[in-house]
This record gives sequence, C-alpha cells and structure tokens, in this order.
Amino acid sequence: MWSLKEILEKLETQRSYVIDPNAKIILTQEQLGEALSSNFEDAMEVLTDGSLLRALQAVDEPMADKLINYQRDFLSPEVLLFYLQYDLNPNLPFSYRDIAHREIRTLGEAILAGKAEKDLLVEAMRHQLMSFYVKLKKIDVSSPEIYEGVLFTERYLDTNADVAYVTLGYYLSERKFYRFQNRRFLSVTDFYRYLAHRKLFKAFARTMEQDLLFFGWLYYLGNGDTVEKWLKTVGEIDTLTYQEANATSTEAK
Amino acid sequence: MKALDKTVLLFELLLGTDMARVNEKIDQIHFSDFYGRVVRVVPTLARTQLLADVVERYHHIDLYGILSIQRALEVEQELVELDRRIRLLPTINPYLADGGERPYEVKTVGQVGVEISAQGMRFDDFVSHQGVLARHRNKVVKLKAFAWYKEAKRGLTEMIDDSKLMLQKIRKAKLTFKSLGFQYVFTSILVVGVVVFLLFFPQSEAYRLGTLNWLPRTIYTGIVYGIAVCYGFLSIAHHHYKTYPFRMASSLRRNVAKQQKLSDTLDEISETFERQLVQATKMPRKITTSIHKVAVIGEQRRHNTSELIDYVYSEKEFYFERHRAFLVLHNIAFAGIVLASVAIVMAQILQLL
Repeated sequence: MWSLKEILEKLETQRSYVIDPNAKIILTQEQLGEALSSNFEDAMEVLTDGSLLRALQAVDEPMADKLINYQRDFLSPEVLLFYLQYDLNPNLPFSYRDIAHREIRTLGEAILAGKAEKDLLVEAMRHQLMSFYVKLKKIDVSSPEIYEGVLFTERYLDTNADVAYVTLGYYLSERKFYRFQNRRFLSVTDFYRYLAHRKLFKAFARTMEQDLLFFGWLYYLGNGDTVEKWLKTVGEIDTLTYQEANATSTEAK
Repeated sequence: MKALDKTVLLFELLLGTDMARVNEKIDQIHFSDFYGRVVRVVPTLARTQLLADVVERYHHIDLYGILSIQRALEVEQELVELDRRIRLLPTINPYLADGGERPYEVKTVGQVGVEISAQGMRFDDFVSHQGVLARHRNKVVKLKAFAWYKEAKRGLTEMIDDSKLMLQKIRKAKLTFKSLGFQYVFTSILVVGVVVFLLFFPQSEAYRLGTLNWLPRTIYTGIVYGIAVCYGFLSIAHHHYKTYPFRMASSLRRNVAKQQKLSDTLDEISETFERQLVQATKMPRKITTSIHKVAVIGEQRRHNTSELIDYVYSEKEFYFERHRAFLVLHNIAFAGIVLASVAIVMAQILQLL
C-alpha cells in the first residue's frame, strides 16, 4: 500500500496517471481526490512541501493551475484542500480536515444530537464551505430551501454562532419538530398549548434561554425576525430595569 | 427581566393572532349536514383526471367523503392542481361552462373531508396541519369518523325500524272496503226480506196463487228478477273487492321478501362496519371503504323503502281508479235493489188500503 507521498512521487516520475506500467496500475483524478480527502495529515504535508504541486504539474496542468490560483488567493491550506479535493472528485462526501459525513441529513441529525464536530463545522461554515458543498451536490436545485437555509446560517454565524450551528442542523436534517419531554411538536402553537395545558411554562422558562435546539427550531420555522424582535425587546427592558435600579440606588444613597 | 416573563413575551410575539385563529378553527370543527344525501364516498380521488370528471358531473351527484389524512392531503394537492388548471382554462370551469356565474373555489388548508354537491365543492374546514400534530389530526379524524358513523348508523337503524314497522302493518293490514261491505250485507238482508215476503206473507198470497191483476203481477215479477240480477252483480263485486287484499299481498310478497333480506344484509354490514371502526386506530383507511359501503347500501335501501311505501299506499287508490265504472254499476245495482224493496213494500201497503 503506497502512501500519498509515494503516489505523488510516482506521478511526478511517470509524468502520467499510469503510475506503474508493468502492473498496469492507473490512477484517476477521482482517486487522487479521495486520497487527499481521506489522509488529511498527509495531504497537508504534501501541500506544504510542494510535492502535490509538482505532481500535478507533471500529470495534470489545469489542476495545477487551479492549485496555484488557490494559493494566490491566500486561502488557508485547509480550505484550499477542501476546494481542491472536490475539483479532483466532485462525488466525495462532505469532508473538511479530518471529518467526513456521507449524507447531509445524517450530518444534520448529528448536529442536533450534539454528536458532530462543532468547532470544525463552525469553521467550515465561517469559510462558506457548507453552502459550497450543498451547491456542489446540486441540493440548491432539488431543495432550494435547504440551500437558502445554509446560506442564512452562514450569514447568521457572526450574530450567534451557537444558534446558527443548531439551525444548520435543522436545515440539513429537515427536521420539522422540536422535542420536549419525549414529545414532538410541529408548531409553536401546538407547543404553546401543550405547555399551557400541562402547566409547564415555568419549568420551560427556566431553561429556555439555554435551549439552543428550541431557538434553532424557531429560526428553522421562519420565526427568526420574531426572535430578533424578542431579543431586542428583552435587551431594552433589561437596560431600562438596570437604569431604574441604578437611579433608585443613587437616590437612596 | 424574569425568565418566565421572557418566555411569555416570546410566545406572545410568536403566536399573537395565530392563537386566536387556531381557536377559531377548533371551534369550527363540525360535520356537514348532508349525511342524509350521501350517495357516494370518494376513497379513490387520487387522480386529477378522475376528480375532474367528478367536478364535471357535479350537477348530477351529491358526493361526500371522509378521507384518511394521507388521502386528504393527496386530494388536496390534486385539487390545488385542478384549480390551477381550471384557472388557466376558464372555459372548463364547470360553474362557468353552463353560463353560471358562481365562481369555482378550492380551499386548501388542512382539509380532511371533501364534498361536492349542488351547492358546489366544499371542504370541511379542519384544524390546519400547520397547527396540530399529525397524531392529533389522526385522532380528530377518527373522532369525526366515529361521529359520522354513529350519525349514519342511527339514520340507517331508523330506516330499518320504519321498514319493519311497515312490513308488520302490511302483514296485519285488513284492507276492507267498509262501504261496500255494508252495502252487500244490507242488500242481502233486503233480498232475503223480499223473498220471505213473497213466499210466506199472507199479503203475497194473491201473487203466489196467480189471482193478482196483470199490472201489479208484472211489476212484482220485474222487481223479483231485477233484485236477482242486481244481487248477483253485487255478489260478484263484493267477492272481487273482498279478495283484493289477498291479491295485493300476493303481488307484494316479492318486494316484502326483498325488503326483509335487505334489512338483514344491512344489519350484518353495520356490525362488520362497527367492528372495523373499532379497529380503525390501526386501519384508518378502512373507514372510508366501510363508510362507502354503508352509505351506498343506506341510499339503496332508502330508495327501495320509498318505492315500497309508495306502492303500498297508492295501490288502493289505483285500484279504485281503474275500476271506477265497475263501482258506479255496483252503486246503481245497490240503489235498484233498495228502490225495488221499497216499491214492493209500498205496493203492499197501497193494496191493503
């Protein structure tokens, strides 16, 4: 089994994708992309020492030009690798650094279950890699709402990264319900009625602000503006309350 | 700001007017008033073409269906598509094609029932699927189906009871013709009186011995023969009417048997339907089929019952109508006998004087 570096050396030597004429071993672009995708550490090494560029210049001039362009655009090596692997093999699953997810639905479920690699995914979102991947897979055509949702979460990342991350999970998994006490609620109305009927308002209120899944759900249902308005109102009320309290304490002194 | 206040504020902002709308929708859950006119249920309205056919023929049918959630959503989509097509091609709008001015409208939010009647196409306005969980919708649908079934079954049971009562009445019916019977008895007594008078009374001795003058003798003889003829006619007429109920019952026998058989079948199917409905929590689609069966049978039965009732209550009238001349002759004969009897008595009184 050859390492990635050995493969690149053979490509450079042979100056062809036929890396072993005797054994009739022929490499393809797709296989090269897969090799870069599945060996992140090795890929970073060959990218840094220039062997990847040399190999591509030897066998695949257009791809080498793309790599040079990426480097000229000052892309970070991780992002550069991300784009390059899909240039080589557009059929690859979502793969960033050393994480890979075959289906975006399961990725969404993993995000909502708290089992996904949050930091890396947030980083990918920050570089708009998620929307790039969704578009690459033509999901923007088959499910425009998912694509729009992913774009929204990437934009919203600067406002509230946690909520944006969870909302991304809802969009990717297309999960329409919010789970509370092992019950699934499809609408805010229904959830409200449940809380009111079971007198669970106080219990829910205690944890609501920390409940990212709840807020992600609200954003997913299209209530983002309302939540923003609520945050603004709460902020104003808190400010007024604080000022009032300060004024009262000053007067007391 | 306290956490509870924040939560309440958030829900107020989120729901606001929506809550009022949802409550309104919940209040509007009701069934159509058209149970009695059920002709056909639409469990298979899955294809636009079929639905288009139905819409085109809507003038001639009353149609009501209770559909499963899935089916309702499918039909809803079909209707939306149909509506789109109709809007694109106004000439195929069934309301406009015949020169009518009523607009054709399709409501598209959360329907479960669909009705196409002479008043137009209408859905049962139902809790929006955006507002209620799927399993809650299923529950409400089942409740509605149960309510519909109870309503339908009550109607059918009443029809069965009515039918049984009617059959009982037919069996016990004494379809006598009281005026004819009285006439016949009265006439018989008169005839017997006249005969006894002529044969045994001393006042008739001259007639019996043949010593009476020719004119009264001729009158007496004419009266006797007239009475005989009239009585014979009356006897025939009376016999004819007396046997009428038997003949009518005979002609009804086949229909009565059919009616009874239909009642039994309906009872049996009702039981089956009820059993299926009890299991409906597992098999909601069965509901539509069963309701379809009951509805169709109910309608068929209503039709047959109506026919039979009409037959029973109109037959007597028809009979009299057909034999009106016969009745006139009967009454003439009766009057003749009475007059002849009176004439004999009067003649005897005059002779004595």
